[in-house]
Amino acid sequence: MSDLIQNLISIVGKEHVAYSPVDKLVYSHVAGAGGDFIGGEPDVIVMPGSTAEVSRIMQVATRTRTPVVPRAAGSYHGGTQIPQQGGIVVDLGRMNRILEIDEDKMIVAAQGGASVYNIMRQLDEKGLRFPQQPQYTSAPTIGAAVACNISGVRVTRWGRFGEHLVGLEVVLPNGEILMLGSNAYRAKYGHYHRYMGTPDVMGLFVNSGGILGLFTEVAVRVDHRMAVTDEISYGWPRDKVEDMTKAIYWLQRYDACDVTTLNLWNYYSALQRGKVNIPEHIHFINNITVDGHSKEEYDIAEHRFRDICNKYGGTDLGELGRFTKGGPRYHAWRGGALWTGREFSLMFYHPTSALPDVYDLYEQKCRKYGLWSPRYLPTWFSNTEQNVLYSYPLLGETYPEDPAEVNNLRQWYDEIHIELTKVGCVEYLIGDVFPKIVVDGLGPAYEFIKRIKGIIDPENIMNPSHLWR
Amino acid sequence: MALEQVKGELFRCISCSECYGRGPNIPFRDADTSTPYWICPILEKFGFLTYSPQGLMFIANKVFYENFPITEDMNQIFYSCVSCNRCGTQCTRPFMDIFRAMKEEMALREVGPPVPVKKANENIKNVHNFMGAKQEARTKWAEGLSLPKAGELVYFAGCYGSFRYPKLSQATVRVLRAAGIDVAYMGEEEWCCGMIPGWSGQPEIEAEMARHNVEVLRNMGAKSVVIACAEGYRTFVKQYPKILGTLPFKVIHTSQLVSELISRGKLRLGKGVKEKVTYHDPCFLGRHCREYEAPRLAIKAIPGIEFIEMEHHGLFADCCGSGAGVTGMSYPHLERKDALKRLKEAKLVAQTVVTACPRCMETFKRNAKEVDTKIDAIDLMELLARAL
Repeated sequence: MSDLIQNLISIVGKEHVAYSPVDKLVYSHVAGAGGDFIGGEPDVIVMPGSTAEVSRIMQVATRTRTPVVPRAAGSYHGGTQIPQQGGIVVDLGRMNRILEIDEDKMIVAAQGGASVYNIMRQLDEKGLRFPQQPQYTSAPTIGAAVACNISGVRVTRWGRFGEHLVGLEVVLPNGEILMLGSNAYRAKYGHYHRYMGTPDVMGLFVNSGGILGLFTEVAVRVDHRMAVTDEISYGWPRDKVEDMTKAIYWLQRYDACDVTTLNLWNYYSALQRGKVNIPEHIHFINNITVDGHSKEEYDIAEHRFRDICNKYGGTDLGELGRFTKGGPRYHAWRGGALWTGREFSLMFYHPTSALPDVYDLYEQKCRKYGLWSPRYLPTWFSNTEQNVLYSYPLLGETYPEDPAEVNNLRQWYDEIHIELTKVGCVEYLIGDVFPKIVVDGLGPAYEFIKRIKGIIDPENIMNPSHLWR
Repeated sequence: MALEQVKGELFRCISCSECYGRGPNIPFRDADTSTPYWICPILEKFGFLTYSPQGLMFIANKVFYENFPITEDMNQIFYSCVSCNRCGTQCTRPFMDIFRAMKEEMALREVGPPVPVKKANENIKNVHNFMGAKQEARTKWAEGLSLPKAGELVYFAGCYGSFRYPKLSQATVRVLRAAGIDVAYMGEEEWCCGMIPGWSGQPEIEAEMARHNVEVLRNMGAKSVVIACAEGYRTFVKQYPKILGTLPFKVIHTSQLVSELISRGKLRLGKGVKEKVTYHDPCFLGRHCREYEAPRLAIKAIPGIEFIEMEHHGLFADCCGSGAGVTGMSYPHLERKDALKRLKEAKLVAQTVVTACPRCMETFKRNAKEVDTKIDAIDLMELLARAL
């Protein structure tokens, strides 16, 4: 047993340290593009039970210059939770307590390993909710929600998860424990405000993908649950993508709660099973979440949104939106992935107005590589944010016994990333799976981020492969 | 390779994490699809993702596709899994088939099953019951009942109903007779259903049991076979057809038969039972065979009974911990954790936990006694017999 492992056992106890070949194998893995193309085994996996333990682990890592990779559910497919080779994986699964739900201050605080869905359930019991509603599974954690700045329902109105952050406890690579936000004072009022009269340091950690520190406590602003929420659904043919884009633009302007654009491939398995009925000429489906503090308010909003969709030639798809409501629309595209069983995803931002161009590019590249077929399900999924779309196309099905097929997908993946970068699309979370052009394209901004990283993490132990190449 | 039969499924995990929970599936209390907090039982105990359905699946993937060596520690990983199939209800991947195939692969490479399970399998092969009891003792429960050895409806007592809980089989006969139904039984010709070897990497023993039992039942002229044990029922319904093709008889769980008899007015439960009870869904009857309603219908038909659901019920019922017997035999301390968790939940709402699987009942009784949780466990058929 190495000194490193002995040190970690002395901090958290032997039952919370794993280092067998099979444990290391499992933590070297994530499905999708990340799992296919990158990754190595850690030397050890450790599950701390407190912030103090996390701090001591980081001190050991810094002293021994051992790389550290934070890990939560591991459902992100970019591979940021996979070590390059060796080092420590810190799994925060034990730090899962909800610390505080304060209805007066309208905040919730939880340990970094707490399940987002578990928190949402507790909020729901009190008639509260996150302004933006994450839509994943019950496994993702609130620490990862900050590190990955997750999306969800109502992003059109409220933006991403990180926008609502009011407090963050970070364990830095040297073991220092930093509290950010109003709770930096560690005084009576605790968490209630993000800003401290200083530059927005908290923002530095949002979307950081585990390269700057471990998040052991997170506080987020919450909102009242609306009295009425429902979904309407409108479809457009493939050749009317420009009209649809105009409709999305006006839905954003008129404060739609949420607009999600999907292509027909998302519904492929449901269509095959006769679960949905979609007119043949429809290629794009827009699910629009409508809400209101009262039925009257809801009715006004619904009427306005229907007017917009009708004006731009949308076809009312009735209750199709409800098919994917609940657990929630996530299941529409996930259903597609499950149909084939494999996921190969892209995640990037672009201006709303660029949707026709970007979708053309996507279809063109998929067709070029023979991927525009039921076997691969080239689904498209865009969350509409304030003035951008967060597009999340994905492909299913590769067969590991056929290296030529995997290579074909790899080539498609590289080529489409290069093309998207050239026109100015922005990656969701930079990771090792991306071609070099993605980070090079950032120019001086990338160099600046590297300098910041160098200050916070001079030994470059935090997730070293994911920003430094 | 045993994994060959499931190789097309091994790489189909998208790491969405839905298979292991760690929260409610739907985070809203009033949604139609609202679920309680749940977590995969092995992940709950060990914490590391190695002990999760996606972890187990990934290991099997690497063993098959990259010849990752099978090591002794995989025994603990795969035999800690209680085969509760909650993962299988959350995802379309056939986790149970994959885990069974992996255990077979391990056995072929002489890793596993753990010693107590291996001994049980030897007993099944040699004397046709997992306890190693003499086969002639199998018929003792039926003494004095004058059951015929041929007939259209045959009661398959199983190892539990024959050796460990004769009262369960006697209660079953009593209840069915009260409804005017006479069952035949297999006597010494009844062998173990083969469930344990099937779930511990030795499907050839399961197949041997299947061939024998089906042949005997065919010769008896059985048109229907009724089984009180959830594990035996699942083995007949799911495994035997895989081994032998379509069976020459219908297979029914006792809860299904009695609920039908109650609905048709054939079984009258005249005597009230004043008790607050809850129902524990056995994994092999519930999630494996999707039978949730029949036992509840039967319980609720008892006059005077107060029936209350536990928070985790139906699709989200927690496992008793025995894990098809193989987990309980291999790692009793792990079984105890699950059993106590379940008993504590039951105790919150009731005095008695009713189940429809004698192994679940035994697991509860054994562990309740050890920790004095002051809650009784009873099989559905015994409860119904009390109400006659």
